[in-house]
Amino acid sequence: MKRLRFVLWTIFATFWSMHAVAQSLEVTGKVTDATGTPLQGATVRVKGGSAATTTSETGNFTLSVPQAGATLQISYVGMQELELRVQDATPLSITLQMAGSEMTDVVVVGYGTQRKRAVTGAISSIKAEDINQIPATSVNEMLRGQAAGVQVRVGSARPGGSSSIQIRGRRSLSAGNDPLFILDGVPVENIDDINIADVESVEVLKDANATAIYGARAANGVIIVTTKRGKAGKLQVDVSTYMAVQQVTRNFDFYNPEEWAQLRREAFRQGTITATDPVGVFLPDDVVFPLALGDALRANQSVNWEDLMLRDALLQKHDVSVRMGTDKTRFAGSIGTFNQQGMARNSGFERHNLRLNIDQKLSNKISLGANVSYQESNRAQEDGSFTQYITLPPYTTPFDDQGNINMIVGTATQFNPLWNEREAYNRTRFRSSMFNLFGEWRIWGNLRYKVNASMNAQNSTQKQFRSSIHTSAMGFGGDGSIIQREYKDYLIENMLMYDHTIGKAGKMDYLLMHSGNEITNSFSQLSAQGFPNDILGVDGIRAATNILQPNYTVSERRLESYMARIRYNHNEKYFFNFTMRADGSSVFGANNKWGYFPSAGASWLLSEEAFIKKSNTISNLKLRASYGAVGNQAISPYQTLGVVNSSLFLFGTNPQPVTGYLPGSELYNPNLKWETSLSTNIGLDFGLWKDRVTGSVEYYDTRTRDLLIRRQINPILGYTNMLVNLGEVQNTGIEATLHFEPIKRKDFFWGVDFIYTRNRNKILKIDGRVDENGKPVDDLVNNWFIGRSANVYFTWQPDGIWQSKDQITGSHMPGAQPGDVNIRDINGDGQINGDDRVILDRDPRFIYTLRNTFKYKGFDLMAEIYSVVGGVLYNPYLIEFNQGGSLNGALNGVKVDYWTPERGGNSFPRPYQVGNAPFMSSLAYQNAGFFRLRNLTLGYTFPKAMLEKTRVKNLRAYVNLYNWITITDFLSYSPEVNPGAYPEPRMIQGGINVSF
Amino acid sequence: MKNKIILSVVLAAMLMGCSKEFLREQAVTDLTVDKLWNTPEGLATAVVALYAEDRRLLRVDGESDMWLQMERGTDITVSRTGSGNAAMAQYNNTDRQANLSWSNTIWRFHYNIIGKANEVVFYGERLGVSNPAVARSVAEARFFRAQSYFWLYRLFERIFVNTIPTTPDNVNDERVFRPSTKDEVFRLLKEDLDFAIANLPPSAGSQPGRLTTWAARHVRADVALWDEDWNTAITHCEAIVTQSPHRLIALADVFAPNGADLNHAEAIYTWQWANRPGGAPGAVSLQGHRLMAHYIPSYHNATGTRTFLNGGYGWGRVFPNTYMFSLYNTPTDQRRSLWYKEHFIYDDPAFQNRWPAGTRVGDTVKLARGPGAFFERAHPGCLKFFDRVSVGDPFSAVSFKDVMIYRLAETHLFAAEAYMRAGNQPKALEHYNKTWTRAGNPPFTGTVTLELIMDEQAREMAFELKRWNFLKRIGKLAEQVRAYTGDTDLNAALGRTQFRDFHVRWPIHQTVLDQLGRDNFPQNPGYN
Repeated sequence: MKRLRFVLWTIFATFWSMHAVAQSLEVTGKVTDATGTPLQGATVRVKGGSAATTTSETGNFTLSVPQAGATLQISYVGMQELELRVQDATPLSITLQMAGSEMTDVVVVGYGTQRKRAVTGAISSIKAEDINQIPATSVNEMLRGQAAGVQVRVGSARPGGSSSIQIRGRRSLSAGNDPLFILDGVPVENIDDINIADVESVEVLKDANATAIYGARAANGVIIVTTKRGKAGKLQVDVSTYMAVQQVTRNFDFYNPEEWAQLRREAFRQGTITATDPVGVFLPDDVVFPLALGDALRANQSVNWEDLMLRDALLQKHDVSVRMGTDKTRFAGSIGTFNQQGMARNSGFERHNLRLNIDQKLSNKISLGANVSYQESNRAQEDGSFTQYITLPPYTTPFDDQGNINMIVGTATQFNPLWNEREAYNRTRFRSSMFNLFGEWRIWGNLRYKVNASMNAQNSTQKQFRSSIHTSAMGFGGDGSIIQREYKDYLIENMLMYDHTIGKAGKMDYLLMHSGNEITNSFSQLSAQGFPNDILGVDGIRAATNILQPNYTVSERRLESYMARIRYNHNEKYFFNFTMRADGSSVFGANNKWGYFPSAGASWLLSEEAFIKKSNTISNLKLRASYGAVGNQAISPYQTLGVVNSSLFLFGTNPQPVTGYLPGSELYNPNLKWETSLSTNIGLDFGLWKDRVTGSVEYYDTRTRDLLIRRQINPILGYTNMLVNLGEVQNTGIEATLHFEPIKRKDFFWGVDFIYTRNRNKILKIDGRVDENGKPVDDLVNNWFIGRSANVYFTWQPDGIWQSKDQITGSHMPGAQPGDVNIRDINGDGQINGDDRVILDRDPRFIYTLRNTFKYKGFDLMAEIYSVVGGVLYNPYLIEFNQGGSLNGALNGVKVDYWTPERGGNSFPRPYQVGNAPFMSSLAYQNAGFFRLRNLTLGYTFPKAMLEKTRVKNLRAYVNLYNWITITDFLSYSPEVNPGAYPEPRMIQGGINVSF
Repeated sequence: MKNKIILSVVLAAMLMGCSKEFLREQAVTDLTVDKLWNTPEGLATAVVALYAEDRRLLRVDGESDMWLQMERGTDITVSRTGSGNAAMAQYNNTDRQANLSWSNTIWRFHYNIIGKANEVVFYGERLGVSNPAVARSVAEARFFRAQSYFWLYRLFERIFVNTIPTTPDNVNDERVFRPSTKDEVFRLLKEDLDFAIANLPPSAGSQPGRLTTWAARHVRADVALWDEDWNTAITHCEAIVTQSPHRLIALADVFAPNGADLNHAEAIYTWQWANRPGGAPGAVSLQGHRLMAHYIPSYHNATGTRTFLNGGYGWGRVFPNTYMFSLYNTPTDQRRSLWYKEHFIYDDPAFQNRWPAGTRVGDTVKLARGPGAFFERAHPGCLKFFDRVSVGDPFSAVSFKDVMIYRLAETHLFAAEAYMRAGNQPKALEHYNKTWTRAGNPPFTGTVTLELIMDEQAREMAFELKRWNFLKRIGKLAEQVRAYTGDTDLNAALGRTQFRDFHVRWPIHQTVLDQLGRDNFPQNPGYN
């Protein structure tokens, strides 16, 4: 790293010491559009040379050219580029023509931008104007359903929680599956804290040709976020604000108090069955309902815990941004604040963002820029778990006669969450700052050098405290922790770029890059028990009587990369793109640090061919194909070294413990190497009927080799697992993005967007072992089956409920009792064992988004449907004790039609007093596909005429329903959130966007 | 020109890249294995960690349930509830199969210790056991290895003896896993323990709870009994009794009802627990065990709250059964009154509204014996793990009390049995009377028989994880379980009818069979 810093400083020093070269002919002129309006900020360059300038507010420019006869290139965003020979010093009058959108649409690609028409890889691009239609809490959430091939899942729905993104399915089994995030050219760990209001565009790079230039970390795709920059011109101020109400929603019923009491009686009754009395007897209520449960039942006092513990919660976001610029200096700044109350009491999140993007032109040759951002957030987390809150029995006593909070509400271990919530807190304060400096130097002609350096520092302080009467800390006189986390990320990239023309129609451009990156994570924790009082909370830790062992860990990872890219554009019709990247990662074995990742892509713009250009039907047609390799290094550091765990051991009543060291249960692997994905992509972009129908279709086939797999090893060897490179997984898929404009009139517009994603995952090879018939061996321990998805369940299949002894006698489950789950005898051998399990796919079959947009005068209406089709998910609400699913009558839970001796029933088994009915877990696998009205937005944009007298340039107000309707078989608060986790809310939101 | 120079510098800088050191990895806050195995000091720290591994049996699950599974289903217990009740106490053939998770847990637990011990032994021998410090470390590791193989053998019989340390280089070597013979198992047990006896110190010194030569002799005597080698058992028991500092202490102090430290003269090896750093697994949040709660009934469901007076925290999972109490057949035997709580008191008037009408403070909970409320709330419970010192509150199930593993009383029982089997009645009687008279009984003068020892073993060692193995060793497990396990009047005696002869071995877990290959390594007989 020292060397990196040295190089960085040398380069910066170099910049300051440079000056422009001498000139010989002075040219002046004025640039306007077709209507004669002056164009400010148009670029005027000497072709093949280094001299360049931009036009002033009046469209005027002055430029020195080496000699008469030189060619000027004049360009402006949205206009066709113009070339002009300079004969003498006569002032020039230049008129630029509007360019067709297909000519000028620019997308951000790795290490630069590219005109959309020249793109050879698979890239989805989402622009700011589309983003701002719908309020979203994070960039990840905003991406949901917006780009084909991208699956966004809620990681944690709690305030301040994050979402995870998967691009084109799950490739890696044990290494990470998160894409690489690039923020304004800098790789970042996540984009959770980026203010959406700052975002100009988001590009999703999917195929190897697009991603391979990020070789090292690109195996799971790349998401590039570009923030807004200042533009030369007038000052622009944007203000946006919205508020939302979050509500919990579910698609199941709880037992009502009487139904719950009856379930508990049934469960206790099951506990009384004997060989001679298979039905059992109901026990008296004073046995079934002890302690507070009995008190509440006798007093007929019941509680709706969901109402008591959860509330409708407010969410609000306010942003102000300012953008301005001259031809030399451009500036964009923003401040934003986001506040999300939790639906669970004592939970909430607030975040403040600050961003400053500056671009400065030092001379015709040198420009510098800086992006600075700062975020600060505070998060409060509720005590206990959401599941705990809602599953307490309805017959309980949260308050005493005087209305004071009781500690115990039911049986002796059913504590009052209101009590514990009062006696605890868990707060995290997080700060993140990012400094990104970049400079570009046009060395001579078209040879340019670019440097990009960034430092990202994050730290957080988490404070947890439970008082001496909190039920989990009361034995210890209260307990508390102070946890500090620190993250530091340094990056430096040096790039050389060159472009030139070949003959009349060929354009080549080259890029050479070297980069170094270092990431350090550290963690420290101080914990104590025995707080003398609760006055200071954990801040008084110094006075605690029992200081526990402190914890401190540091992990570092480093990455060094070389990359070369060559692009060739032939006649704006044929495009080629070759990249080669070499990455060295510290996390791999000493001899396997380096991985090499080449890629090639080509595209053919068929619509430029004469035979199609004539067509009135086809306005745009492009065929793309690519092949390439990318790598995955998303494993924790130090796994090749054989680190050992330390533990303390205290002999007798000695005052001091002694330290012991031993390796853990994972055997280290000094030979770890890169996981490599080889991927083929074929894509077709098209526009029909003057782009009234546009879209693209992609097909891909990705083979991932040398998978980083945490493999179970035989525990007889003393270790239980080891990270190895093994096997091969294939992902194939089809993606389609279609846009229709059935009605496009002055006052009325109807647009339809359809986005479709289908991915198939398949294990091709595990470890190469074959059985005696030469058939590859499946890995039953890890649920890996050759030819199936890597993401499956392997379980028994229920077939109703056993109704009577007669039915059981002579069946394949002779040991069953009436009321138990009947399991299908898959192989028909007359008994149930491991061979009767079936494979259930967890992956969805496909995902689609259907969006209808209507605009009538100032009104706009948008309805978006998001649907995931297929995929099985294990639902703990239907089985687990702690989720109230075990039918023991201990907790409340999802109401099901359970079996009783009198009533029968064929869907759920008889309630057991202890444990589950055998094989009951087989009932917990439900289809988690869903159909959701994700967004319904009604907006109104005030007419310009109305605003003329004010300083307001643009004013839009909207209301939105978010996640309002969900249709699914999966019984839970949301099929997208892991069952049992903090629930995902539905929201009603309203907001205003103003520009000055 | 100037530009060219700068360009050259930039290009050179780019192509040179970072130094080779940049990608070299070095752990900042963790040591690596090489630091452990290359010095006697490193080796000694590895052995300390083995003590922590051994104690961790009580934390392989959240509720110290693994321990309980090895206590369920004997002739002297009645199981009321908790996971494993059906499979382990009722010998239910549906639950007790290859998918029995407890089989997997205990198998992995012991093979983990064995694997780590193999490394200590191997690297210790490489350093040279002529160094006394190294020899002691190796001796401790061999003790733990033998102890774990001994457990595995007694539970499963069909096991694989592996003594080779696992490394990244040899982990993929082709191995044929076939069940080791009893001879192979016992040869290793004897070699390991004999080495431990020779190289462990006679005293734990300043580290109470550290292994001594006496602990190794105690286990060696047990191994000899399994091997029906009565003389070897006698040799080791006599050595402990005559040469060690261990002696029987007052009955009331054996389980320290008012303390949490069990490192007294009778204790030969105890698991060390304390509510202080190093006193329990877990670095920043100490994870106590839950042994107390298993054996105390849910009396609070009758009295309205939990108090130390009534026994503290109770789940009421396993209790002494009628047969157990019938063995305390003399009024003089104090073990029944010291080690069991048979009556529970209405003691906190704040909860009077939950008491039967007319109940006053100090009244005893009276419930009719039967499977309902009595079984749950008023059944007598075992107090050997009762703890009011390391537990701050009777509503906290977490305990940090030491756990007795080997104590001199058992050595005397070994000796009594070995002498009896070898035909030496006077010596058998002498050892038998050690525990019998300490309990307050007048000396026994009759003939020492296997039945007599079996009953005294129950009276003395109940709930100390000894009974199942003991009955299996003397060949009485099936007979005793069929006759006595559980209690019929509590509707908890299914084990008596569901016990099958093959239940003397636990089923081998499906994942183990999957990994070893059923052909080489078949399931234990009787199980699917």
